[in-house]
Amino acid sequence: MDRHIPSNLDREPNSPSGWKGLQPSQINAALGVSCIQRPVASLCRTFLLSKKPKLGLKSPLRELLLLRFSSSTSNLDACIRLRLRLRRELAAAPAMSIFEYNGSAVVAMVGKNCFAIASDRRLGVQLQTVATDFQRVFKIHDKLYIGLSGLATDAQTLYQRLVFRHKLYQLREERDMKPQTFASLVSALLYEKRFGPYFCQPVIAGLGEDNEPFICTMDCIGAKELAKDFVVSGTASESLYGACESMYKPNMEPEELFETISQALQSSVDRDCLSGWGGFVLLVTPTEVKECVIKGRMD
Amino acid sequence: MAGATDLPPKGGFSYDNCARNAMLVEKGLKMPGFLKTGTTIVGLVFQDGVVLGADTRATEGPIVADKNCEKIHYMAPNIYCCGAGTAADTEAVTDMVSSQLQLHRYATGRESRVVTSLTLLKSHLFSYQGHVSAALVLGGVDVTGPHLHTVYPHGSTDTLPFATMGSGSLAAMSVFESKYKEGLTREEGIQLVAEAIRGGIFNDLGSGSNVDVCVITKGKTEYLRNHQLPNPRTYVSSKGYNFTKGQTVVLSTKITQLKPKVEVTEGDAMEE
Amino acid sequence: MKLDVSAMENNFAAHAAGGEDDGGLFGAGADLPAMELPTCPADFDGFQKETKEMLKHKKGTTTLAFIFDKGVIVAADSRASMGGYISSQTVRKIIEINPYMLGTMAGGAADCQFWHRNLGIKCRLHELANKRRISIAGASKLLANILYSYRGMGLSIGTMIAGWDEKGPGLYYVDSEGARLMGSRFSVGSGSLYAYGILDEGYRFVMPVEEAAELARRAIYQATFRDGASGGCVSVYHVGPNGWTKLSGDDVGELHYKYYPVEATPVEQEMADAPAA
Repeated sequence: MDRHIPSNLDREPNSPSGWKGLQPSQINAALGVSCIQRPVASLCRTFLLSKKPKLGLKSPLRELLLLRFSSSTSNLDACIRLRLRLRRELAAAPAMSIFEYNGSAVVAMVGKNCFAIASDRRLGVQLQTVATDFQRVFKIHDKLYIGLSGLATDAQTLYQRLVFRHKLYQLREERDMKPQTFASLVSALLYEKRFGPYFCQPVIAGLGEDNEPFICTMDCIGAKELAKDFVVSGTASESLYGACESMYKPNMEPEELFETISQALQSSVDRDCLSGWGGFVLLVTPTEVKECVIKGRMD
Repeated sequence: MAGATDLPPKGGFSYDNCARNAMLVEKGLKMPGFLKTGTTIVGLVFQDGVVLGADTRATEGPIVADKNCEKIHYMAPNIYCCGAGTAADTEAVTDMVSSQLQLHRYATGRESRVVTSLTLLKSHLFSYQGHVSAALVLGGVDVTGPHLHTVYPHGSTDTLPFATMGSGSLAAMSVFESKYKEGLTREEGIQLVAEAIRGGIFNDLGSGSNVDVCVITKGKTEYLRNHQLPNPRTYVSSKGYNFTKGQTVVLSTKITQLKPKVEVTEGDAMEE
Repeated sequence: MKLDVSAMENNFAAHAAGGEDDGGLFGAGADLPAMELPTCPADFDGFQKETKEMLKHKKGTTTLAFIFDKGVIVAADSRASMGGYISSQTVRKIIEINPYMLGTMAGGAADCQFWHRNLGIKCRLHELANKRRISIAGASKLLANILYSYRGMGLSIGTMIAGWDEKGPGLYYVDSEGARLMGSRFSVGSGSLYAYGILDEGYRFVMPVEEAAELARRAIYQATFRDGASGGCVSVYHVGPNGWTKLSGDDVGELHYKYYPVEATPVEQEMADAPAA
């Protein structure tokens, strides 16, 4: 085992009292990690925090510095173990967001008295494709649908809770929920978990009173974003923004809307490793609902 | 815990997922970023009221998530509030306080006061020690006259004749510092606020798109949504893309016809 | 830490010692490509890991090669990705070193391209000096020696050198950690596990070329299906006694539906239940 301690010991951070206000570089300096990267620093913090009880760290950083200055062998060992463990985790940890774990692409567009919502069909575990018939768009009632991108387990849990809440509403009110109301429900459900969120970014699309189309998306803690044209979410969202921004036209008829959303989805997921493997498009007009599985690249 | 039945919760935050999420983070997955309103919000007091202003850009990291969002939130008919910080927090905190104000009005039958909403906001934010990251500019006119306040995420507040907040606050403040004077007219007030917001829109990367303005005077509130549109879209072609029918290969289709809703008239349902 | 810079075939060492002060522009060093050596911090291990993380641009790949009775088959996909983003679907991952030798590319695209070209130069020089083509064993050893001399400095290469020499077909696996392995079949890259599954199942030593090519194609295709970071086109090369030939290049988007044809099912019609009210 390498017991070498790097020479940048003397760079004691300015505020050794806590780790919270520290710059990544300061934490790195304290740990002897010379590469300055945000994910690295946040991992350090998380790691230190998680090991706090075990190592008896009051202020993790100060404690670590103490450990390193200490001449006691066991402390030195602890310090080195800590560093090695960190190193290992850093090397093993891909800079991956939880949203990217399963991979997804969801988009909704508004047309003339109609709307379409589309998603990809892949379920993956990081880069490994596990299923190519995964459902991310769910029905709430005939004219209201929700697409849930992000972590698949949370998408399914959230969907079940939403259906439950909608059924309670139906029993109490003897009517279906308006899309606007439903959006507020989703927002409230997500914001309830503000400090321990579901890793889902919902896309809500529905026909409201007088068959007025409504679309909306949220971040994972329920900040509503209402749009008149299109909304996107998932790992392919950046490509989708670009594709929709150029392909979308206002007041499209259902047939054209279908083609536009399908092409926007396809061209976007073809630039994303983590989504694709076919597509699912749902087109809703006041009189009918058309669900289509569309052909796409399978790689 | 919501419990097995998952009944509508009693309110407040739920920490059910925290342990699991901490585990995910420990395994090396990154916590996601939230929708932020990297923002310019401002407010000023003029001769007979207050003017509030905001830009309309919402960002998610480097991506502009919404080009025309609303950052001036309703609190009471005579009180409005601009929000900067995490979008969900500003939205939730203003909604929560506005409902409390509404209930208070029902109970007392009197117009809400700006200080009431200020106290409600700051006590909520203080109790969450800055974790609810909402930075607000609160303005309104009540029985005691016009008021303008700023509220910081940790719960501290200021009372000011002119105020700015958000990432573009420096740009906006430079405009206010050089041009604000006491006793502005309504028109001058709106103009100065719009100029300050434009300062944020053009000089701060986190702010952009349009100018929203809200003018509150005694007994009258005007919400000037998209008061100015200094960034019209210039890059879109008039024709756009045309997709012919059948360009997308469809593997399977399911069509569900929707029956028109059967209207049950009141008389039929009730008579028996 | 002493570097073996002999592979660079220039007076790099003199430069490093500060012999000339022309910035390497006019010395003999300018004739051949050479890399500036980074100044390493005391923490050498850490430096290695971190540089590797930083330099890993192109991670996802599936490449394979195997020897059979009629030569060597080499196949690869064509996707280049940066994180989740697909930066290209038309990368040539099989590098034609000379008419009798191919190299495959996995790891850093720039590293692979540069050192394969460098290897091509060396092979040609060897040919001119010795009036005979270099053996596959020799060529792969040249590359392995270079890579070993840069070990721990952030190069990221996983390659197979395949070809035909005086002794017949040859296949070596070489990587930036310094390994050099001889074998009858290899697969390299993030999709290699999936490719191995098909390859091991269908491999026989005696096979017609067409069947061998189809096995390779199928193996790469299956890898592109399962692995998010592999995709694009499947290119298949065969190396025989007369050098290499490119057998095919198929778009996976079409290949999938060739293997698994689909037909549009008739439209399903349904009436919704009367809404609850």
